Amino acid sequence: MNRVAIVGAAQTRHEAALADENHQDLAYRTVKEVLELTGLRQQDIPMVINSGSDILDGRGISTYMMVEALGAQMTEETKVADDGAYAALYAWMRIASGAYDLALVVAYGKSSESHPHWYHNMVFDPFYGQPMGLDLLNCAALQANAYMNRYGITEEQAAGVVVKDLRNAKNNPYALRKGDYTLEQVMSSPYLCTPIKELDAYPVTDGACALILAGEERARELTDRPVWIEGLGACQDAFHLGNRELARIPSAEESAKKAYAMAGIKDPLKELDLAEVYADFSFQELMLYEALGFCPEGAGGAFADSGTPEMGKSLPVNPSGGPLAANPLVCTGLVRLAECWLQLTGQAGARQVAGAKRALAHAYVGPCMQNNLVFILGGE
Amino acid sequence: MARPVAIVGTGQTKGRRRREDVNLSGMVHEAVRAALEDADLKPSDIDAVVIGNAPEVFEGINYPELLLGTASAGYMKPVMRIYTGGSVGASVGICAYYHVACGLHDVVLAVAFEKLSDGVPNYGLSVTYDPLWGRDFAAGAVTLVALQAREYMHRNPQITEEHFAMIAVKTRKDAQDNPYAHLQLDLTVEEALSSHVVVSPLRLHDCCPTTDAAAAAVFASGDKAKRITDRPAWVRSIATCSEGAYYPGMDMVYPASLQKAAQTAYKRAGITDPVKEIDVAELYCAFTPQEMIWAETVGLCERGKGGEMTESGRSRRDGEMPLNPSGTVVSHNPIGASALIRQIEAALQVSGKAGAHQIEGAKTALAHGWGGWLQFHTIMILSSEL
Repeated sequence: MNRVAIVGAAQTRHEAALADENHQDLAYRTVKEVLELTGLRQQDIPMVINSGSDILDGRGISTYMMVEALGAQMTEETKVADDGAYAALYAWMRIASGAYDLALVVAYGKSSESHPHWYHNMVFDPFYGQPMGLDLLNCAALQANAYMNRYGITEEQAAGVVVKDLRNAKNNPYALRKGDYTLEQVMSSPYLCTPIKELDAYPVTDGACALILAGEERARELTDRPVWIEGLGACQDAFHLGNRELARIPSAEESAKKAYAMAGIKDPLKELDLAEVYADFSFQELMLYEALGFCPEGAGGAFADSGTPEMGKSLPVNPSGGPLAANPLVCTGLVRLAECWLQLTGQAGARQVAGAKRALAHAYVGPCMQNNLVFILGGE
Repeated sequence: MARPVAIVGTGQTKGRRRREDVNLSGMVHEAVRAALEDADLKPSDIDAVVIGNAPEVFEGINYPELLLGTASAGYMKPVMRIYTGGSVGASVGICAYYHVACGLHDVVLAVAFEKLSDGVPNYGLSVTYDPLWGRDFAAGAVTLVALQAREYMHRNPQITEEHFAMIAVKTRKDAQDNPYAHLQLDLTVEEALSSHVVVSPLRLHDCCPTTDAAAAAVFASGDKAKRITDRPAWVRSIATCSEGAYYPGMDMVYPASLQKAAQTAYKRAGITDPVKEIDVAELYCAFTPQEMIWAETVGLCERGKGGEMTESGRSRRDGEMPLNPSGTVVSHNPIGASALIRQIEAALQVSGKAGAHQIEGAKTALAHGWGGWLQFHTIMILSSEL
């Protein structure tokens, strides 16, 4: 298995509506930036793996009109129709197999031209789930209640995650929602779906992200600061909420277990320097602390209260502000990888975790975090 | 280079216009179960699953892999979805290949499907056009291929509609020996030529049907493959190529992307004379003229000689260069599954499991996938020996 590294990453400033640019513009700008950053030209890239969404774009076969903008003209382009982090996983596979030594990974999402309710409602089966009006938000509210009731987690503990993430986001020039919010402000923001309040939920965001992955030899030619993919794991749970244990995220537990085993990590809390996780709602970040093994089952609230996931403490989670600060659907997970790359190459500016050597990036797809993906990344 | 990978089991459902007896999960599971039975594996033997279909609007389900994971032996396993338009089935197979080739997984299931009766296919295809300035002209895929066929006839004046009709007769007849094919018809050239025009020059019998069906294939690493079956279909090479839909100078007949994909695949497999070295090819032909056009593009027929090939019978099952013994997409088009079925049919041929449509002694086969505006192409070369 060939070693694979991230050698460059670029992302747009994530905004509520990047109305001046169409989908092609967004992708092109990011691709151009990452190519310039790595000193590569389009013709150097043998394959492009991209992620986009027909439903979000309002087009069928959305890559159809995107090929040139993705830098994919006459390349071995393909599309992973999940979050962009899964495109990075596929690019890793192709390079690890020895068949390729370089890949461009691109994801883009323009939620402002769509409506998240319908986008997420269409995930459910057309005969039972869709007419019930299920979507990401109301399913997450069911999950939040199940989790809080079982483990005695409070709304205040979830609100604390918002305070931390939006404070971190102040240091992230790409983030959309940021500021010194107080616990009271979060607690008094209007309920969207009990117990989830407006500030507990992600803001609707436009954005794009691109990475360059390279095999070991090529990576060393391209940069003196490669960020190695040391471990990864993916797992999908059952679809129907009734078939799942909603108060835990077993598929995230399984993904983390595999990624840790591959990277040789025994004690994630000690061995990781930071984590960038994909939680659309504040309480899900608490659930992820448990699923990723940062704390025991049911102790997500106490772990947050201890301050451990804050900047300057032993395991900062979402130094960028995470998806509560900016959530460009389809590329949010890929942005987690881009943020870890910035951290491990010491380029994260005001949000830099001092001396970061090892990071975890997490992504997911599906209501109540059905399908999870974990990467362990290491700098030199 | 990548470690050896083979297709060791395949499953298909019989194509029908409407599968009202099963829902989407049920239909997909039917193909999955057939593939597992073919390889004599249990769902727990599968390490990971790759799923794909064509536009989500066909069934009206976003992220269908979430719904279909469990029916695809993917419960509590890595599940990924690939999506490249009509070529998606092939792209799914290729992704499953890399799941194994990279060493992360040993046995991976590729699953592709379409239940077109759950939606309106031509609507689904028409929304591929740009919402602001393309959609007023949108009319599904048949208009696109009508343009391709017209331009092909223009460049090659010897090609007539009669050639299309001959291919229609051939494929409809071959499909009779493929137990899964949707359309299995006794047809004469006269009947084909007198069928109504859909979009000139394409007549009814030049066009694919609207099909409900699913397909699944098990990809396994070398060691596992040998343990699972004594007739693995080894993946000798893969190449794909994409080009922009409106790229200036795009060749509307012989896409540069397909030429490059084929040449790269031959090079990677060490094939120098494809006509001699390939025993049978499954080309993604959703419309009859494409049998000649694609064969010429991938070098299985000389440029401009598609008509002669068709007249001489060279592309028939008993000919020197058998094309599409399954009846291809013209006979059976569950869109998202159609390109995986090309790989499955090629695998069946080289492992000698193609039954009544077996090409005697086939050792090396080519499987092609086409998607988008003539712009996404995939080639997989399969062999009975590594």
